[in-house]
Amino acid sequence: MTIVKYLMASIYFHIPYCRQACHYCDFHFSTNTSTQARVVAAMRKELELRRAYIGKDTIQTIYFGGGTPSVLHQEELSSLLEDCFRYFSVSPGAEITLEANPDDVSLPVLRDWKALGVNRISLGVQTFQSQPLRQMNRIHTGDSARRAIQEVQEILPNITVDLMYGLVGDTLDRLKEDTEALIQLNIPHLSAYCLTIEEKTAFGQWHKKGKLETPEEDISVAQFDYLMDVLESQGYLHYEISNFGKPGYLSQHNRNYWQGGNYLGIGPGAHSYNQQSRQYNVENNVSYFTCIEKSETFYEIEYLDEKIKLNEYLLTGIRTMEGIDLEYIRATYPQYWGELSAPLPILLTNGLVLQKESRILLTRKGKHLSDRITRDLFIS
Amino acid sequence: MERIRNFCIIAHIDHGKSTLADRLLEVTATVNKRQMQAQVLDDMDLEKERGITIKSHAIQMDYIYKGEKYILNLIDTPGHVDFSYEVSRSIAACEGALLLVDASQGIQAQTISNLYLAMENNLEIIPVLNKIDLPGAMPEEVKDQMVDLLGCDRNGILSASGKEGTGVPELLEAIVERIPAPKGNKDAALQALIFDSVYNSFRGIEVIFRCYNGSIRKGDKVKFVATGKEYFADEIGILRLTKEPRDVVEAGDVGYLISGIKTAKEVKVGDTITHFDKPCQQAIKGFTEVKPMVFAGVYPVDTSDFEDLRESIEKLQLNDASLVWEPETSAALGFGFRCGFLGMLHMEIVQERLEREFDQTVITTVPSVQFWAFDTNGEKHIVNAPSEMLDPNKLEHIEEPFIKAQIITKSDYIGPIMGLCMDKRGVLKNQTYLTTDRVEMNFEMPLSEMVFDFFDKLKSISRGYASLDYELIGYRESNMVKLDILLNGEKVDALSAIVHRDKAYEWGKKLCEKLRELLPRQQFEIAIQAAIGAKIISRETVKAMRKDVLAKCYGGDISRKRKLLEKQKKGKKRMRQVGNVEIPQEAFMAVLKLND
Repeated sequence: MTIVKYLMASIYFHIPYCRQACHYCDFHFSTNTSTQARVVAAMRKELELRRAYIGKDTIQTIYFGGGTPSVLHQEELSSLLEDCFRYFSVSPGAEITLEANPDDVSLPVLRDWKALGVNRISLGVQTFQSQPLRQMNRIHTGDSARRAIQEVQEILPNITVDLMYGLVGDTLDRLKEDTEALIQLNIPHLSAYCLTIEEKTAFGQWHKKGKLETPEEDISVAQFDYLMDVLESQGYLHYEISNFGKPGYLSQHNRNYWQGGNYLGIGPGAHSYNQQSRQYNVENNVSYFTCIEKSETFYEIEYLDEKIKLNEYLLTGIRTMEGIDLEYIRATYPQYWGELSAPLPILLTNGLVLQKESRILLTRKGKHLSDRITRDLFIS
Repeated sequence: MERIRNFCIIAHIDHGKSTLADRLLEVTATVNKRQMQAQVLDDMDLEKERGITIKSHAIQMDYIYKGEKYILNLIDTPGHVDFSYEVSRSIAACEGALLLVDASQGIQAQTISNLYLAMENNLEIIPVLNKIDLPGAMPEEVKDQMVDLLGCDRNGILSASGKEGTGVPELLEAIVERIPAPKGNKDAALQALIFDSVYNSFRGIEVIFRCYNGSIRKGDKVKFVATGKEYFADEIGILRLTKEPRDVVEAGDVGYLISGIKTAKEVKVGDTITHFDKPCQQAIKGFTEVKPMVFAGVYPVDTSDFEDLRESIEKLQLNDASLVWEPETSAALGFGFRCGFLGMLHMEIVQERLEREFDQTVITTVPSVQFWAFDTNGEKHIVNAPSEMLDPNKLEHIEEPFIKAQIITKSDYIGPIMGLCMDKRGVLKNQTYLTTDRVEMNFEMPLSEMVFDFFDKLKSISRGYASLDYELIGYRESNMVKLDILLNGEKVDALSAIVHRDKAYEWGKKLCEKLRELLPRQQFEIAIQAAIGAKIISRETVKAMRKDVLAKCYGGDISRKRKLLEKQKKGKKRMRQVGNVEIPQEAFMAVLKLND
C-alpha cells in the first residue's frame, strides 16, 4: 500500500512590531516602529527573491502573524498581498488570516482588510478580566475586546480568539467565566494557551528573582480538563493540543504546519520549510533589512535527514486529532520502525495513548503529557 | 659522579615550590625566556589551573660552579597531604632536599611531615625561607621556628623569593656545596630504581629511574627485578624541559627509559632495573605499597562505555601509581570499578583527569573508608563498599580506621576547630603552643569523618589559617550502621552508606531532602526513604508530574521544540533506572553536597 500525503503550501509574514511588550511573550518583536517601512520593503524584496522556494505549489493559505500585524498600514498590507498574487499562484479560496490586537480593530479598518482579501481574523483577547490583563501588560481592556469581537463578527465571521490559562494566581472560575462568554459570543474557533514562563521576558526575570511565583500546576491541569470538557460538549473539535474549532472553522494554515506541508516564512525571525530543509531568518529587524538591502545572507539553513523528518512528524502529528499513522511510518521510515514501536506498549498500558486502526492518538491523560510522550517516541 | 646533585623541594602546599623551581630553571638557562611560563614543570592543565602540583616532575639542569659544570637533577613534588606518597618516592631518588617555608605563614603541618620523610631517608636538608618579598613576611620569627624544628644553625637558613628571584644564585651554590654527590659504582652491575612512570600514547610507557650503580646503554637488554620482565632499552636519555636521548645514563644520574612497554601493570614504581646478562645481586629497597584511604565506585555514565573506562583507568594508573581499582557491579549503575584513592582531593583529581585526558564521563558513588566487619564467629571481613557489609544477624561488631590529625593554627581559632573536631567524633589528645599565638593540636578521629568536608570546613572556620596533616593509627570499634536509600520501595545500592549510628538520622534526612530536589518528577509519585535495616528513618515525596506540554507548536517552533525534546531524550538516556524510577547522575553524587 502506498500512502500519499496531501501537501499544501503556505506563506507566513512575520510582522515584528508591537505597541507595547506583553510581559510573557518571547516572540520576536520590537516596540520601535521607526524601521517599519524599511522592514516591509525588505519583506517585499524577500518575497520576490524566494518565490522559487516552495516550487510551483498553489498557495492555499497566507498568514500575517507577529508581533502585531494590525500595526501595518493599509498600503503596506496591500503591497505585501499584491506581491503574493504577483509572484505566486494563490488559490481563489485561500485562507488569509491576520492577527489583530482588539484596540487596532474598527469597522472601517475591517472593511479595508476584507477588501484586500483578508478573510480570517485572529484576535488576541487572552481574558476579559482587567486584573490579569494588567498583570500581563496587555494593551487592551476586557471591554475593548468585547467590542472588537462584535465588530469583527459583523465583517469577517471567520474569527479565532486567543485565550490564556494557567496564569499567575489563576482560578478555574476565571477561565470558566471567560470561556462561557466566548461560547455565548458564538466564537467558532479558540486557541487556548497555558502560560509558559520564558526566560527572556519580564515574567522570566521576575520569576528568576523570586518575585513571581510559578502558577499552580493542579489548577492549570483542571483548567485544561475543563476546556476540553466544555468545548467538546459545545461541538468544537479539539484538533490540536491548543486549538479548538467548529467544523469548517479549523485553521488551514496551522494544519499545514502540522501535516508537514511547505511554507515560506517572510520577515525577521520567520521560519520556512520545503521538505528538504528548514530556514530561519535573522531575528533582528535592522540586520534583516540591512542584509536584504545589501544582498547578503539573512538566514540560516538546516538540512533535514530522515531521522529529523520522522521526529518532526512525531512531534507535530501526536498533538493533532489525527495522531500519527503507524502504516505511514512503517512504509516511509522502515529503518526506524523497530526503535519507534518499542515504547508503544508501555505508553498504551499506561493509558497515555490509544490506537485507532493504524493511528496512535493521545488520550485525555496523554494530552497533559504530550511532550513526555513525544520524547519517548523520538528516534535517538 | 662528583658533579651530580640530586635534590627535591619539599614544603607545605602553597609555600612556593613550583615558582622557586621556575627560577632555578631560569637562572641555569635550562629554559629560555620564550619557553618560560608560570609553573613550567606542571604540564597538566589541571595543575596550572588549580595552581597545585599533582605529580612529581624531574628535570636536569646544568650549573657552572667555580668554573666546573655540575649536573643538578631537580624533582618537584606535590604539597597536598593526599600526595605525600609522591613525595616519598621523589625523596628516595635524592641526596638532598630544599625545605621551603613561607615567610609569612611559617611552619605548617606538611612542612613537618615532609621534613620527617626526608630525614628518615637521610637527606641533607637545606632550609629556605621563601616569599621574603611578601609584605606580611616575618623572617625573624619564622627563622626562629625553623631553628626550633630543625635544630639547625640560624646562619644556615637561606632566604629567597621565588617570585622575584632574590637569593636564587646563593641557593644554587648551596646545593653544590651542601648536598653530597651521589655514591655508587658505575662499573658495578646495573641497579636503577624506578620512581615514576608516564604514559605516552605514541611510545608506550616512559619509565623514570635513578641509577645507583652501573650504567645503562641504549640497546641494552634489561630486566625488571620484581616483575621478572625483560626488555630492550629502545631509547634512554635524560629529562630536560623535553626528553633528550643519550647513549648512556650512569650511576648517580636520573633518566628515562622507553622500551615499548604497552600495559600499565608491567611497570611497578619502586622496582629495580638491572641487566639481563649481568644482574645485580640485590634489588634496591623499594617503597611500601601505597594504601588507599578512600574508596568509591566509579561508573561510566553510559553503561556501554565500560570497556573504554577500564582502558582509561589503566592508562591513568600508569602515571598515578597510587590509584587502585577492581571491577564492581551495582544493581543501579551496572558495571564499574571500586577505586581506592589517597584522599578526597585525589579522588576529585582522578575523576577530572578521566574526563579531561580520556574523555570519559563518570558517576562517582558515596566515598567510603575501609571498614572491618567481624562476624559472630570472630572472623574479619574487609568492607570497602557498603554493599559488602555483613547482614545484621551475622554481624558481631564493626571496626573503622582512626587517624591522628595534626592541626597547626592561630590560637584565635582553637575554639571553632575544637568544636569541629568534636562534631566529627574527634578526641583532643594534646595541644602545644609553638609560639605565643601558634598552636599545634593533635586529635584522634575516625578517618570516615575526615572524608567528606572536614578539610573545607577547617579552612573556612580558620579563614585559611589552619593546616592539617594526618596519619593512620589503626582500627577501633565503632557503632556503625548501614544506611540504605529506597525509591518506591526499591533499594538503590549505589546510594547506601556506612555511617555512625548517632549521625544516621541526620544523614538520612538530609540525603532524602537532597534527592527530592534532584529527582525529576515522573508520571507517578516517588517515595524516597532512608532505612536502617527494615526501619524507615526518613521520608520525602516527589509529586507526580501531571503536566508536560508546551503550549505552542507552529511554523517557527517546530525545530526549536524538536531540538529541546531531543536534548531531553539524550539526558534521559543517561539516567539510571531502579525499579520504575529514573535517577539522574547528579543524584548519585548528592551525598557530597549534603551541606550545601
